[in-house]
Amino acid sequence: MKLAESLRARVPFAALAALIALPGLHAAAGEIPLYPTGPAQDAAFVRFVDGGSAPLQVVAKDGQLPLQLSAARPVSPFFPVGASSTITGTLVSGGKRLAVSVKAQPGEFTTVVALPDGKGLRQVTVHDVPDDFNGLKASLGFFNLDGSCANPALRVAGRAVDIFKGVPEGHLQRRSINPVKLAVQLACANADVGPALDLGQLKAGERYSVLLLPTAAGPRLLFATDSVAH
Amino acid sequence: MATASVLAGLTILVLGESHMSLANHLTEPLDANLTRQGAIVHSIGACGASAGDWLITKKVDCGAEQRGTGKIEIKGRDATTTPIGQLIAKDKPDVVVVIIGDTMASYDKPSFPRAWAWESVTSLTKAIAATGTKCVWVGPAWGKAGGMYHKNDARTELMSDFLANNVAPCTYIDSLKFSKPGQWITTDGQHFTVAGYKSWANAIGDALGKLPAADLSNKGAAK
Repeated sequence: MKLAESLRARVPFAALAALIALPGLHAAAGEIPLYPTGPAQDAAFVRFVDGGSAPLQVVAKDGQLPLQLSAARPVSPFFPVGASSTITGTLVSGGKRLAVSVKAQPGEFTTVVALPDGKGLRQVTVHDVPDDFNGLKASLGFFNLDGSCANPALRVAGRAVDIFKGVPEGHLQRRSINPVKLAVQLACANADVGPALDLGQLKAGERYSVLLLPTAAGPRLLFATDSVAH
Repeated sequence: MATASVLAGLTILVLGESHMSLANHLTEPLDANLTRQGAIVHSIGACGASAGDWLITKKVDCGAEQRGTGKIEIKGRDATTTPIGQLIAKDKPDVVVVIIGDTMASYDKPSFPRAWAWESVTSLTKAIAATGTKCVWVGPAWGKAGGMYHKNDARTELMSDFLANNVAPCTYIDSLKFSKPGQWITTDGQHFTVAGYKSWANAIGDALGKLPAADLSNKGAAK
């Protein structure tokens, strides 16, 4: 399925929303109507991340308005997509192009990260099937996209308290935490790397992501509030 | 000397699903109860509407609308949902009461659509919160296992627990505490008899009347 097939005009890639599986139950039993009681299949969502230093375009189809990501806005919202459908398109950054293909299973929030790879680009897809929805807590996810950071850990800045540790490359860990003001510190091989990252005051019911990304100068952290495109 | 209800003088917008979309269902006894407590009530029901459907205009198979104890207006296939922002802008309610649960539980499906439900519920609660309006969410009541909707106790409880954990900043009213499974007689496992709806309506009205004033209105918040 081409990304463009689901493109809505008002928001680039909101088109993916058209793929959301929302089959209501409209069957009738005699003269008695049956009202929808929820979808047969859970929703699925896909977002894109510019993991490099150059702006990234996510192209659904040549000639159509692409999704634009850059240092000012490196993380897209999650777009509703058809669960279990393969979504295809093209990632374009710094004159480099990469065909992208992604499939999100029911209940899955899938993150597609575009990373520089020598003279080209590479796609890393991280699959998140959360079960921690809670309006009284904040949800924080830690995505490891940097294989150069050994045994990566995310700690409370200034304290020897690991929030996450041992996240394999290309995977994430997610947990519910109290909605507090929080700053985090990356550690590789049990040694602090880079400056602390201030996440600010976390809000109850919000979902957040911290992504560990590779750069020529070493690992860096990217913080994003997870949102869903409507 | 009777004490005035905390609901007295409040404007309440009530949104619901099929339970509020037909005559002799939930709307009439609930509006009567809230009106008796001094509230100014506007109730709208849309069959099969999930939470997220109240962000858009969606055609549904049936619906109903009632103001106070006025005549309930039953709508046929011209019934739709109305975006919550429009409803709040027009009614300027102190509090929105959402009575949605059965349309989102997927009773007849093996898996509960957790991600879909989260997105749908939080979209509506955020839209209400963005207007600064208070919100109360009333969860599903026990039905009778089986029937055409395949309502069952386990999924009803799961749906209620999910809502309890995810409707903030709305206040949650747990309808499962109002009765025992099977206690209120249903016609199809999910929809109640007149007596059942009267019991549910009175329980909801009583629960609303016991909430702190700060959960129901911004009046006095600046004092």
